Amino acid sequence: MNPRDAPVVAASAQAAPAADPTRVRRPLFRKYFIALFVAVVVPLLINGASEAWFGYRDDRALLDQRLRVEAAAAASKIQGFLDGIRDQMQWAVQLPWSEGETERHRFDALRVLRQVPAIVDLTLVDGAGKERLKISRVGRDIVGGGTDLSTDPAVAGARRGRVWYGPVTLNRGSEPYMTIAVAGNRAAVGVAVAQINLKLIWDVITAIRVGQTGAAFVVDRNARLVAHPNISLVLQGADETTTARLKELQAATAVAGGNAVTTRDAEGRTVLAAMAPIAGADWMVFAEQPVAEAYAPIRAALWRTAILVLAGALFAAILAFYLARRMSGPIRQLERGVERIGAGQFAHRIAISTGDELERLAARVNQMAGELALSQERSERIARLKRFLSPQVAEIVERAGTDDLLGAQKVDVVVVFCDLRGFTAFSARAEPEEVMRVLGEYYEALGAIILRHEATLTHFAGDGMMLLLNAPVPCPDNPALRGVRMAADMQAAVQALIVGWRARGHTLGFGIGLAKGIATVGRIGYEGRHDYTAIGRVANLASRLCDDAEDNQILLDANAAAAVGGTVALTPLGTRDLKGFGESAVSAVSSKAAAE
Amino acid sequence: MRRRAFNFALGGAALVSLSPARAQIASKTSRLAIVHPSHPVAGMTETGIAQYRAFFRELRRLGYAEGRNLSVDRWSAEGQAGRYLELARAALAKKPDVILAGGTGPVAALQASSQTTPIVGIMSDPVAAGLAFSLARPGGNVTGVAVDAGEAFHGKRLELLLDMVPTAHRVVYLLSADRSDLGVPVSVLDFAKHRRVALYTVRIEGVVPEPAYPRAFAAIAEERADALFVGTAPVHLTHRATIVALAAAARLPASYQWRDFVELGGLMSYAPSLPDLYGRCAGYVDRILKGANPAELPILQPEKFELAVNLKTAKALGLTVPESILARADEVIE
Repeated sequence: MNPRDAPVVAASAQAAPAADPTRVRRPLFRKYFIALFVAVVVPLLINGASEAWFGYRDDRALLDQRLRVEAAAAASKIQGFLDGIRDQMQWAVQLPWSEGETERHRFDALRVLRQVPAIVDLTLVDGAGKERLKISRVGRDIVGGGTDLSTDPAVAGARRGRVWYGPVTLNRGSEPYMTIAVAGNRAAVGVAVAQINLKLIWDVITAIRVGQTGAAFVVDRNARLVAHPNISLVLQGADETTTARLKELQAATAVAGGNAVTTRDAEGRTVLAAMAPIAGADWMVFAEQPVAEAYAPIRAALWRTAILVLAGALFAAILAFYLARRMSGPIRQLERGVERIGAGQFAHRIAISTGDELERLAARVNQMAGELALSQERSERIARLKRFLSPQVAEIVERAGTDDLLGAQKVDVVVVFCDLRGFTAFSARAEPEEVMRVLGEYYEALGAIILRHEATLTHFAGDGMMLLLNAPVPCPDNPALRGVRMAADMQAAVQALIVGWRARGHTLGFGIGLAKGIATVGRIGYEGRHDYTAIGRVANLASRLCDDAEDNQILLDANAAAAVGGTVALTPLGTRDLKGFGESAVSAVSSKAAAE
Repeated sequence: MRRRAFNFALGGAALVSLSPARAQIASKTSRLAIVHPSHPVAGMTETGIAQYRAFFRELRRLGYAEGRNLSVDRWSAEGQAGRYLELARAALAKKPDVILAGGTGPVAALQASSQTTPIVGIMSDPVAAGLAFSLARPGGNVTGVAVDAGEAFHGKRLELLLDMVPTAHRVVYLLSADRSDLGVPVSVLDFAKHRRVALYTVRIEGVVPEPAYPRAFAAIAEERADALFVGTAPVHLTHRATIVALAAAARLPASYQWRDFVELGGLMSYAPSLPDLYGRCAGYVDRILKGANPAELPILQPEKFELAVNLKTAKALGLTVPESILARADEVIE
């Protein structure tokens, strides 16, 4: 971010060249996006999965139940078919076999045949078990046959349990027939035995629909198909594969305990089958439905859930994208803004109006940029001021906030000039390094003193310096006195250096001139390079005095001497003819006083 | 055994092609040939005689309409048994997808000419006639319905005639000139013996209907018959109007096989319901057109029998219809 730091970072990152400081390894956008997306999608998925699972279980249970109900309904219809036959046969066993009643019995029997098309023939047996009448649709009617049928299983069975259902037999190897025997409520009325053509159940069984393509079928205790919507399967008689398949189904159903079982139908389709028994005939009614159809609602529900989850995930992705974008966008904007501000464009402002903490952060950064701009401006000014003002003065000027203090004015100032004696000769003679070293020591020593006394350095040239007191900032105390003291300090410091220089073979001395008077002070120079200086007689006078001063001497003009008179020991040197000033009274600071 | 194996292979092929066949039904036109031994072709339509009405109604219910997705060629021997083979060849020359054939004779002729074209037949006893291995699994190209509910059924018809006319002692059984019409069924002979009635046979000879039928009725009169039992030969059905008229003129109570006679004034008939059986045949035609193998379609047995009685004729003959007959009658024409 900070361009000045960039090379450093780059240097430290050289071990991992892939890491580009401007490229983030784990962008916020991606993090937020993933976090938000996952936060929405994971519960959605869990919910979807659990819904699918429980839905499947419930639907499967419902399917089981529905198939059981279908089987039971089919069974009750088949039962109804058989019960209808039984009930009609009851009419044939109402009258006892007294003499002359044969004709009545015959009509009863004919009526039963008329009512029940499935009855092929009907035999009436009297209380003693003798055959009394046989009525047939296809064969000869026999009246008073007299055959003893009391040991016939049908007759015996009906006598025992009122109704007897025989095994299923195949007429001419094809059509399923069954014997039903019904006994009257008194032994004397005998038993009616009927041959039933079970093909007529077909009308019942085809009317039963299990779902769209499912069916019901009837199987007897020997796993023989009694009724099936595909009549051919019934009429084809028992073949081994069909019987084996049905036996397996019967066994599987027994194990499943009422639940639907998965099996294959005659056409090889996978089907779900549930069973309901028919008690009297000892048959089993199966309701079967192709799995493909049975599970269609479950599959549809699963699809629905999947689509919902997908839609939810899509919505979550959009939402996550939007939120992550809202979060990372301003942050990136902030980053760019901070980068530009860091690069010094303090005028740059970050425009974020998200109404949240990020907006506040942007405002703070903007504020910071403003303050940075101010601060830079100020520090630049101070740096500028410091060139000719002591730091303290510079601060004062700076704090005043305007350049008014530096404006042109006439002020009673103290001007101090100083330079080294014999420097020109020395500089011509000595090595440049030595010259610069001497100057370095010289200015270092003087700089500290000037700073301490808060004098204004107006300019220096080579070994010479012009200092100003009481401008631009007025001295709170006597400026002349301060100037004298500073001069004394300077003289003392330089003299100490001169000892060293002389030891190195350099013949150098140091003189100071000091004058007090009204001068025009102000800033001079051009845009980008300003100096503060004092112009006037007093400046020239101080310069002359400096020129006149000997080594280790501080010369004062009359004004200055008058200003410090009494506080500093001065040695009046009478008048001297100073160039451009004529005869002027000059005093020197006593070296004794200077030492104090 | 060999033939059966072959047929199973055929069945497999049919199964494989089942779904495309089903898909084609809507667009493809199926070719059906109908061969009947006695009824004129005019009656073999959707608006014709009862059994064909039932047949075409069922076909329409199953999605077939003549002229749209079904083309039908019709052939009738009109009672001439000698034409069966000729008709069979003509029918097969049209390369039908399936043939509906009435009567054992035409079916036999068709099977003799083609062992591959599926035939749905209305036959008396296809197993006895050698047209199928068994009712449960016919095993060849013939399936359909077996009209004969066993041999005893003919005896039953005589029983009903004698119930109607208890005073009858001399019964004439009318035979046709057809060589396949071998004689009186055993059950009829047995029952005549059981009821101690004299049973005579009269065979029609010569050109039908004239002069063969009037000549036969003259012979019947000579026998001093008091009841007539018309045999099962298809030729009688073709000339039912002549027979019924001659019977009425001779004041003979007569039993016929089909109710077609009774509708024209015949006294009584007892037989499996033909519309019912033809309706089932339509179901088989549909299944065969959808690729089912006739060898595996069980031959159906009738379960619905119709006793038709014409009360007007009974009255004209001075007969009192007994209660037992009325109790049994499925159709009473007044």
